[in-house]
Amino acid sequence: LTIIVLTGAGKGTPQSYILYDQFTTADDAPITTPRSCEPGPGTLTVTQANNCFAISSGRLNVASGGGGFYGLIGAGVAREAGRMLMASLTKSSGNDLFPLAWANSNTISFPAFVNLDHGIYDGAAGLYTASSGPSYRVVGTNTVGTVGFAIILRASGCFVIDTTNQKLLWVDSAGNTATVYPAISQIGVAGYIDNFRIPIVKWTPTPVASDSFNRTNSASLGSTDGAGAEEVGGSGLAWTVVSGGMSISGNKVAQSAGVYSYATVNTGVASVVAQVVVNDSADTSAIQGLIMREASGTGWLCGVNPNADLNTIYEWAGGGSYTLRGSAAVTISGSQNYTITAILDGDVITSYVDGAALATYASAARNNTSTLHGIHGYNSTLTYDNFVVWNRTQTGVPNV
Amino acid sequence: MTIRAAIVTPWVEGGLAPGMPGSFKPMFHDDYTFIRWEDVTGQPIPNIMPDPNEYTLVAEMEQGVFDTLAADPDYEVLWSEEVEVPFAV
Repeated sequence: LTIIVLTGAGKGTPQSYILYDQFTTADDAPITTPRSCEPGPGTLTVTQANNCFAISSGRLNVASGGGGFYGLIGAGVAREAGRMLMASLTKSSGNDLFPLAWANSNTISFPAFVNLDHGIYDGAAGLYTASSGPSYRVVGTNTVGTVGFAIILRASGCFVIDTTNQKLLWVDSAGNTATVYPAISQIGVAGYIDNFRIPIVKWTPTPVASDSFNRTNSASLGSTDGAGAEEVGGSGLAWTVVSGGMSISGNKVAQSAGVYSYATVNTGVASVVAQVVVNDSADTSAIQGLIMREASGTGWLCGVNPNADLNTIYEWAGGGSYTLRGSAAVTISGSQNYTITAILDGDVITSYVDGAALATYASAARNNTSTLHGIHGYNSTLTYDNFVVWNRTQTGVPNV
Repeated sequence: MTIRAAIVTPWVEGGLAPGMPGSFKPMFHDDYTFIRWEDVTGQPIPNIMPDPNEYTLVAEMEQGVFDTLAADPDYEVLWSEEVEVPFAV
């Protein structure tokens, strides 16, 4: 019998991190580079000018560097689903800061969001997430006080979670660089960053509903199979085709000809992050995507209007009453996949197409406790694939 | 340059498609090319259309579109600002 005991830095304690910097010991600007993380493990290479970084009061003090990209970057980490990059941010002024980023090369410069696989960014219009592409979108308001964040890798993409308020901010499928680099970057902001870390423990959120629709053709939608996302979960929920006709065909959901149709599942959660992939060869429909918080033939319709090249949020009051509450321009072409994302948080609804074209409405009181979410559309040429719903509230992030 | 502005606009019928009673959208939606807009008034549907028929939305549009809108007597601009492009370095 062989017993292997893993210990950290000769301290006799279990090794819990790949990288951990608490910025404990004061270091005046410019700080030492390369920097040995405290308590470690890990080493950070620092790019700095204009005294933009100092360590005091047990945290990294960030001052405006002005005119360029400066930051700290660690050694490359092999991409694994569930690998978490975490830190806390306290912003005092300014708006340009990547407090947390997985870079896709050993480069600390992210102009126009390049060199990133995943990042969060506190900017003038709010809190952004950015991803490989590059693409970026507003996912919330600017941070106030000290806020913890986690960017959690998927095999392709990431989850972005506000760990202080326990909210899932964004789910991304883009970005799959095999080796990614933990980074802090700033350009014109003042504030503090602390507890920059990559725990050994891995974790990802579990969907509350998920369906790949990969099953035998059927006139019935059946139940969710739990396989609509990378992460397994959310199976066994029965679909209800509430209106029109929908069927399983070619491992997707297809619609009956010429009749408005929608189907829902009871996810048990009202505030959610939901996604579905739509594809319509006709490019003529007025509306298709996600129906959220449905109740007795009313609800919220989030998705694309290919006919007018729009992303829209409609308040559906029943019957033929569809009132437009928000809209964004987006070019839609026939026979293309588009990922519709709807985020519902209390009375705030936001809708995105392929992570862009933000439409939002902040007074969505209708049905705000309904937990029925699903898919809807009109054209018989429309298909749906990979429907996934996550709880907006995520309490399971490991406390590490 | 992109401009964000708060605009007073009337409701018009036909939220989803023309001729659908009880469906509403802002007149701005049909009159101008926009990047996005958001209803920031939140009038309940039973109260639409209000008297006077006007409500406020916040919209983002190109500078030229905004200039035309600002000169349009059918609309009132409450405030406007330039939208900063994030990390345009």
